[in-house]
Parts: sequence; C-alpha cells; structure tokens
Amino acid sequence: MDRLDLFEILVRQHSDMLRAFIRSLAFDRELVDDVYQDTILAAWSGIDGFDKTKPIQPWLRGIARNCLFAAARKRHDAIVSDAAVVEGIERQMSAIDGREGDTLAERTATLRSCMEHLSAEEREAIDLCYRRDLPATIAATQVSVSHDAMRKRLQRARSGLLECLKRHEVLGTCT
Amino acid sequence: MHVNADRFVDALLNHELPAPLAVEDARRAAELCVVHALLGQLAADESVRAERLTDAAFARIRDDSGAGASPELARIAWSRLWVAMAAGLLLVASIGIWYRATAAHRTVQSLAEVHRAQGPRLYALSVHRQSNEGPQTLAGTVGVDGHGAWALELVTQGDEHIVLGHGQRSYWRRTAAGEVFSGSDVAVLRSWLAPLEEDIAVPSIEETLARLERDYDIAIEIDPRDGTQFCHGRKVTADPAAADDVKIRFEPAQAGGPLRIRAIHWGWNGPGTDVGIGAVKHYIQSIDAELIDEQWTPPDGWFEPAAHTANALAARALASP
Repeated sequence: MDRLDLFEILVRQHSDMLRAFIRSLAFDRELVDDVYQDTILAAWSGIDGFDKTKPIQPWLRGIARNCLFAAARKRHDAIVSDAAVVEGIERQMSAIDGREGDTLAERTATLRSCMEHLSAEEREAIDLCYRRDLPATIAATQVSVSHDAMRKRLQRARSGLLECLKRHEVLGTCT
Repeated sequence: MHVNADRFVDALLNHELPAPLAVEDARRAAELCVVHALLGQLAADESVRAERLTDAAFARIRDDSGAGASPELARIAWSRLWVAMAAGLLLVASIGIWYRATAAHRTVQSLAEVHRAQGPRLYALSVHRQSNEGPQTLAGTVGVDGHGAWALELVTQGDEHIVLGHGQRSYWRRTAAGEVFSGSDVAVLRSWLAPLEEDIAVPSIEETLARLERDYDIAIEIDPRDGTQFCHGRKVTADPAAADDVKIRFEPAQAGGPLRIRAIHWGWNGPGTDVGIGAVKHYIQSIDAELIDEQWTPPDGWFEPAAHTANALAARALASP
C-alpha cells in the first residue's frame, strides 16, 4: 500500500464530513461537487504540508475553505461569506469531529432520533427536500401547499432538529 | 442588509444566489447551516455521488502522476528519489501509526464459498480487520435469496452483529445488549462482496415483478413513474375488494446501468398499516406515515410468502387497539 492509497482511504473515511462542510457553505450543488474534488486534488498536492501530529479533518476543511473562496472569486455570492458564520460552522464541525464514531453519520446518529420528534408534516418536508432533493417549490406542489407553507415547515423542522441536537450536545456546545 | 438566519439557510437549500448577506444572528445561522448540511447528507444519491466524485478525483491524481514522464523528469526524479523515499517512508509510517490508532474499518477479506446451488445460497465470509484493539477476525455470512436480494452479516468478537442488505445505504450494528446503530460507511463492506458480484446481481424490474406475481398469485399494475425514485401501483387479486396500493422504490439510477427495484411497500389489509419489505429491515407505518415500528428481520426470505404473512400479522397486531 503506497502513500496515495493511504491518503485515499483517509479521504474516503472523511468524505461525508468534507462534503457536509462544503455544503454548509456553498449555495450551489454543482459547486459543492466541484469544490469537493478540488479539495482532494489540492490536499494531495499539499500532502507534505500536513502536520501528522494533528487530525486530518480540520486540515481538509481548511483546504476546502480555500477552494471555496477561490471558486467564489469566479462565481460571486456563491458561498457563505459572513466571516462569523464561517467561523461558527468550523467550530461546530470541530466539535462533531470530537464525538465518538468513525464517520460523520455515526457521530451525528442522534439526528435520526431527533427526526422522530418532528411532526409528520415536517418529516415529510425533510423527506421531499433533502432525501429526495426536490426544490421546495416542487415539494410544495406535491403535497398541495403553498411555497411559503413548505418553507415554514422546513424552517420549523431545522429549528426543531437544531434544538434537539443541542439538547444532546451534538451542536451548540462550543462558544 | 441583514437577513434572518432561517431565511439565510433557505437560500442555501434552494441554491439561490443572494446578494452578499450579513446575518442577524451569526451563531444561530452557523448552527442552522450545519443542520442543513447534515440533512443534505441524507439525499438518496449522496453516497453514490460522493463515491463517484472521489473515484474520479483519485483517477485524475493517478493519471497525473503517471503522465508526462520524460527522461529529463525521470533524471530529476531519480536524483531526488532517496530524499523523497526517506520523507515518504516517514510520512507513510506516521500516517500508518495514526491510521491504525483511529481506524475501525481497515480490512482485507477472504471468502469461502460453501454452497453454490441455484436458488437461495449462503456463503461464509471471514474478514481480517485491524481495529483499535488489534487484529481481529470477523466471521459471518452472505445470504442470497435467489432473486438478487442479499444480506451480509458479520459477528464481531464482542458479539456485535453488523448487517448490510441489498439496496441499503447504511449498515446496521446491533450490540450484544440489543441496541441498534446505523453507519453510512458501506463502501468497505460492499468491497468484501466483490468476489460475489456476479452471483448477487440484482434482477431486472421485469424479473422481480414476475417473481412477485408468481409467488403471491397476484397481478401488479404499475402507474407511470412520476420522476422520483418511487413508483405506485395496485396489487390486484381475485377479490377486487382486497386490492391494495403498492409503492415500489427503485435503486438510485447508476450511470449507464439499468434501473432496479430496491424495496416494495405493500398496503396490507390490516387497518391503517403499510408494510415495507426490504432486504434487512421492515418498516411498519400508519397510513399517515407515522413510524410504528422498525423490525429487524432475518435477511433471507425477502420475497417468501411465509415471511410476508408473518409481517402482515405483526402489522395487524400492532395496529389493533
């Protein structure tokens, strides 16, 4: 097994974390995919700069952030640019890194139980807009509600999940 | 302009490109962005998409490292080889140590075929893995039901069961105490099945439906697809009053590959119940989609009438007042 093989295994192990981080900052789904691949290429180019005494996730996120900013120079307003928000996201992701589990899904397994506490309408909204990746306008049409109503359901669902994840100290535990 | 944190995340979800935004409550916005991102990981095609993108990125890295080699480059490379080798070895050793200390899914596998007859078959699987506690051997099975549905089940030395079923995006880990956890890192588990790829090929939609109709003596009428991963239809029996709705869930379409059936949800006769049949888990839901129960079921007999009846009875029992 050579160095690249090892690097590939590490990247695959943390691919869900990396994609979630990029998704938390990018407004465009194509951009998420582009930046994800750019990050892998840039990380491999700079592998010699990786401090082996430190965890790899923050290093990958730092590279992803640089790739996002580089992409944003070409595509204005395509990413979250508020520095306080970006910093807050990195803090939350670092806190998740420290949780037990090998993958992001394992570290955030509480999300699943939190979903069960949402109302049926809110779960449906999550199912349509996230699991099935439908635009909110299409999702609204499918369940015969207005776009505003669908938007509100999603907002309530995300708020509910946030509160639940905070109660379980998955999010919001860092200052 | 300052915008509300919830509106800010709406823009993320809808892939809108707003003007540069300053948020009223940056901390809440950051938390909601993370919730949004975690939910985004649930998308039906996310794991396939991530895998494809990762494959492409590493293919490019390998192409780039193999291309453009010239005698001049070779001489330069050779002159630097010893330094590079020393640095590389150190790095590999360091990553290796760190990797061994943090890993859980580092494995090589060996597979012993125990039965290769037509119809249901069972393979013994032995996995040697490097975990935090040192080298381990996991013993388990791969069950194939004769219709392409398969399930991998492994037992760890701590008496934990790891199960991955056909069409599942998560694997399931059941502890000795009976607690159940899910994990999404299924690529490694699936790689253990590579030697069986031909044997566990999933049949076509037509083959699956034909088998269902034959097993249950029913006809299935399928509505035109609505563009989603679901398809609706009706299960028609000799007694028209007993006809039920059927919801068929498809595998996410693979590039260039045919569409396959992932799971079938029957509207069963029990009042207000819907029984889904999947490779590993059965979901029992009320008609308004409230989850009543999730049942772990033996992976074999996915389409077998006996298993179907047992689930129907369970659903009825749960639905009874």
